[in-house]
Amino acid sequence: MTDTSTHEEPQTQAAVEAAAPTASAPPRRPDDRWGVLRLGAVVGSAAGSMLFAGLVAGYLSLRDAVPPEEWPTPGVEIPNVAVLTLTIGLAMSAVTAGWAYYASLNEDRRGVLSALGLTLVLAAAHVNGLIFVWDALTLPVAESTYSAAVYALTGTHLAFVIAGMAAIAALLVRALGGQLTGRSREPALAFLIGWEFVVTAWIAVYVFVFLVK
Amino acid sequence: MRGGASLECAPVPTTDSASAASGAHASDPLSSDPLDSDPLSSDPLSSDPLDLWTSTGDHKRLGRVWLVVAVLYLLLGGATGGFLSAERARTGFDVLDADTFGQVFSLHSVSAVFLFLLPAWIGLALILVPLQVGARNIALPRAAAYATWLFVIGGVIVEASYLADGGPGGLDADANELWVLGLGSVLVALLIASTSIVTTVIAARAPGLRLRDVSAFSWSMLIAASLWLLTLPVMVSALVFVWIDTHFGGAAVFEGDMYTPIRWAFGPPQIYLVAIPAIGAAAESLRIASRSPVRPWPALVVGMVGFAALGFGAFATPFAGPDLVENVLFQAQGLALIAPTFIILAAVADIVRQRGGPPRLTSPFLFGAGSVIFLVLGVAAGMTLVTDRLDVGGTVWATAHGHYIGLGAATLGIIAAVHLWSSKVFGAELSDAIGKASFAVTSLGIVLLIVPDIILGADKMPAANPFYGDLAGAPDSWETLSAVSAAGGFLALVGLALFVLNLLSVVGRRRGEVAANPWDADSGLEWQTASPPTPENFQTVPDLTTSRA
Repeated sequence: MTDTSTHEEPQTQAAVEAAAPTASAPPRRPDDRWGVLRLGAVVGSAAGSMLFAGLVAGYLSLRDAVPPEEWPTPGVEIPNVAVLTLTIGLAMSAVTAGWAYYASLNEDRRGVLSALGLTLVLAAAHVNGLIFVWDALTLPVAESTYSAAVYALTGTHLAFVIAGMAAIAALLVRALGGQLTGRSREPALAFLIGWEFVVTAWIAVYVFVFLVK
Repeated sequence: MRGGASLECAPVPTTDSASAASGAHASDPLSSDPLDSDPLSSDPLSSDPLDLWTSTGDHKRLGRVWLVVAVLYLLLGGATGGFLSAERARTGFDVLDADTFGQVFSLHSVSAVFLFLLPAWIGLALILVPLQVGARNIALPRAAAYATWLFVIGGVIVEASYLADGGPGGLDADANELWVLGLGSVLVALLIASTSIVTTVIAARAPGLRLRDVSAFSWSMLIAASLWLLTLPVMVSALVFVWIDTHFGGAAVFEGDMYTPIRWAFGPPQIYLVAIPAIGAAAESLRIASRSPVRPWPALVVGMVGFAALGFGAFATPFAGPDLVENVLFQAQGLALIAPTFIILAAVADIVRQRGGPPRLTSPFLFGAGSVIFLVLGVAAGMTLVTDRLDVGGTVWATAHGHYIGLGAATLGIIAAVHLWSSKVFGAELSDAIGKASFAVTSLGIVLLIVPDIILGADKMPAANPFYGDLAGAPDSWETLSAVSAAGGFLALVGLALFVLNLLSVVGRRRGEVAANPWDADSGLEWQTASPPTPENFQTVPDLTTSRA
């Protein structure tokens, strides 16, 4: 919350903005301030982090309140291979999201499209994998406190992934129109920040729900 | 203004000329801001008011929607509060059974905090923050528009769920689920709007406007919205568990108790977060009324940051357990609040020192001063509550504490802000005479509402219990003092109704008669805009870079 922040924008953007003023355009934003979308993504991610912090705190609190032999619910087998696979897949999507941003920095429209497309595929694979895991658990939601806690965390995260997929679709449309390169790459950076948060949140869910249990 | 603008007020175009230049609809008191530059703007040529309002991304229109809807919920929250007070006083008014009492009690709390206090601050901030930081619009206007309508719809769903026998204490499972979804929607809307506000203050300030020079109200909203962003998501997480309980019928987590997951928002320390913007609004009100050149923002900001940090209540969720009051951190946090409170008090006192003559006893001054006084008293009551030396936890002392902060500090702060900036918010000035009458009646009502509850709390009268008269050993004085408290509640309601009437009186008033700077404020970018502000706020975006050179 200070005026002193990093100069992450390369010189080129400032040059482009300075070169194309219009009579009605607002004054150029000082270079040492973050863009609105980027900052909005950071602030939104911070709020999202608190949401998952609350969910994890609830999970651990509920676990403490239940006799150890009832957590996990007796008879539940966690499909560890499937869970690890979908975790790795989502982690890979963090890399492809970064690729999309850096492709936009380099004015590489084809790279942006490829990277966003791959991110979308990996996200869809994660959704598919999570539904497979839910099915393999054979655990009704209302079965126990454990089941309620597991579905609360994984289900909430699923909602974030689906929202992220909608954002990717919107970015793909913009990229097809050539709107994610040059002056307009701020949305790509905002998406990258948001998607990294989604991936990190899953890592936390994975650690607490499927590793620590 | 560009190139030479400063925080000090400069002559501004008249409203008429500004409106004419922008093609504003001067005959419509609340719809003269057709957007022309925002991607979400409605068609400026459209004559359909529904289209003008529902498709707008203009921060002023969005803020007015929040504010007007919030005021409606103020009346609802006040009415339910009066109902509860009457029920408690047992003055022949005994119509609620235990379940219904629980529903009305939660309706009162939820309406007051989540449908009135927080949305009213959001509405004021959406209107004022861009003006105060020299921006043409709120940051992330699409998100702000989405949040606005999500709040409206979510609020209606919450109220509808109560009508369908839902909410805490409700017996209809579908209505209970509806309540969770409605409240969740409201919380998400508050979070999105808070994101817009925080982003506006940090990233959308006019060139050259340093953060240290931002007005006290924008500072207070930056701090408050940041804390809301860090605490309200925790409540959303609790609602996720409640939703699983209600939707899947397992009752595995909260065993059907829907109030416990949100109760922590109505007590210390979380309740203090609704009052932080009141500090900023009160400081501005007092500064302008006192003609004070002092801008002691460093002290004020330090006080507000400390107050906010100690108001962080996300750890006090139901998962913290029932023995929270025995938690050392909880007690220390409540006691430490006195430090930032004194800093704020000192900063405010410095503002009103008579540098420019005696302060003008305007409505904003009175409401602002009242807000600060109730805040200090509320903090003192809260310290007693958290240390529990008097063993007043769970008694009506807690109710009094909530009223000190929510009704005394925050609501009076909101009214101070509305009076001070009504020329920017509604394009018309509120009646100062009605404002003063409203202040006198409301303040007297609040005092009469709270003081008996403090006495009763010290006497261990349980809170939220409609059947106290049936309790063994209940002294006769309880009924008398409860009746006084109820009378105070009704008096406060009358005062608030006067405020609402004052608001309604400006709706039909033609614009174009209000000065840009009606209070003769000596600084503040918002006073450099016309009243009401033109669609683009500033003819040219202020650039304070050169004025600092």
